[in-house]
Amino acid sequence: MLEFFSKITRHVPSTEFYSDLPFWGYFIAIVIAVRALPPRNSIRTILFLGANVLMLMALPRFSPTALLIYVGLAVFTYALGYLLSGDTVKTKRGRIACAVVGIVAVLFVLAVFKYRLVQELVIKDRSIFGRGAANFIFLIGISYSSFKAIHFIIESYKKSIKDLHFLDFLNYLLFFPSFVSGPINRYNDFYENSARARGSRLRDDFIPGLERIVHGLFKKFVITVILLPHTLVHMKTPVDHLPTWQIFLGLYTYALYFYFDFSGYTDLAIGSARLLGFNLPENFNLPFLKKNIQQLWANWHMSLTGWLTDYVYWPLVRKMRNMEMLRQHPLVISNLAIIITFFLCGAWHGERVNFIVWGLYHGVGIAAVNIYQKWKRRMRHPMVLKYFGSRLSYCVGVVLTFNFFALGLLFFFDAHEVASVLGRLF
Amino acid sequence: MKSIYETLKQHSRLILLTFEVFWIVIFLLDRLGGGAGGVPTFVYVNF
Repeated sequence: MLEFFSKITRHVPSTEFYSDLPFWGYFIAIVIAVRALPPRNSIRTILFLGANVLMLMALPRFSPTALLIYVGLAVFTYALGYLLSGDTVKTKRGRIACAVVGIVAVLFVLAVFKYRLVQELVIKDRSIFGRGAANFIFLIGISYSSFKAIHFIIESYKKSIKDLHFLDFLNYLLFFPSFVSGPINRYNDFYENSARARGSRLRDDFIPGLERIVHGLFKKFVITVILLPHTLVHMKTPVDHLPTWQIFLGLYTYALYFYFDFSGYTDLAIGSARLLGFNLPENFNLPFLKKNIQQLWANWHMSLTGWLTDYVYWPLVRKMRNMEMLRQHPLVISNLAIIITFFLCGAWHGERVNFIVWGLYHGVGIAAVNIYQKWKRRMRHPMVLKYFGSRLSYCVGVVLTFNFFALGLLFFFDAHEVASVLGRLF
Repeated sequence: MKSIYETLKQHSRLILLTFEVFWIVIFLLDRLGGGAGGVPTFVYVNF
């Protein structure tokens, strides 16, 4: 089996998604082949699966073993989803056990292939991953696929998954436009908004899809290329020797670079998916024009924040509402749940402590906004109320929020660099 | 003046797309000529 996939890999010239020319060649061929068949044709589903597999195999760091791991993950997740969606497991205890085992297993796979420390403990012989696998093996796309799998298990537990079909699930999990960096789409939405459900043809999706791709290419090939040399990471002078204004400029540019890079990627993913007949969820809605950090996060990487809200924040809030000591304190419950959620959000971004500190920084920031909002609601003075409703208040909020976010990016640097920059700033 | 504004508004999507395509082509040509250097990899690819 591995040999078969190795043979395929050898015949597929590798390409980075969206930024290399071969990618677009493959993509156009796939769009033509897939859309040539009628939307409800089962051959189209199989052809589409083949296209997804070939595209993943074309990724430079994607090995046949990685594909087998993903297929294994898909089989396991689907089997659990099948059990939970039907009446095979009858008791509530059994159903909860099934869901918990599934979620823990998926998190285990995520931890093994995302965190070096866990991998060193679990995998002793890395030669199974083929050439160049002597060091840490990062399974590309695992952060997003694992969250999709967990979503599928939880929704199966709630019996809200419609039209359960293994090939459809495999295509959902391995969907190449959103495989590497999202958006984290939901199973039901994926098929309910697809060309198959809408009965649409390529000519209906062509202009909207192409438009998004052009926006994405502009952000990636023009804006980020202009911004990159001015970001703090790319400045040639050591941070200690930079004047304060340049540190701020570097941070602001870095924040903008982050936004244009990631939202550009999202545009390309959404546009490409549209050409293939699928609607992916939006990930950004002008986050840097929001007046507080809570609103910024509600409009930044929306598919991740939506996932965390549904599967971490609300379950935590519901759990805490049942605790005697917390029941009377909704603000404490909300803030605790936010801080824990952002702690996990930080851990999801990477194994370094920096990411966890970055997550906590944003969690505490949103909690502070929550407290401030409560205080604001008590205000009755007409002058203060007039100010809160004014354009000035909005502008002050936008500037402060952007500064808070940009300063937070410092946590992506090494600890001594962060200390050095903070020392220069304050 | 009003009609110019109306025309611009009516074709704003097309104008924006033309502007974007123009600069994409310029940057790609520059890249091919070795001036702009490589396109940076996507930030979130390694997350």
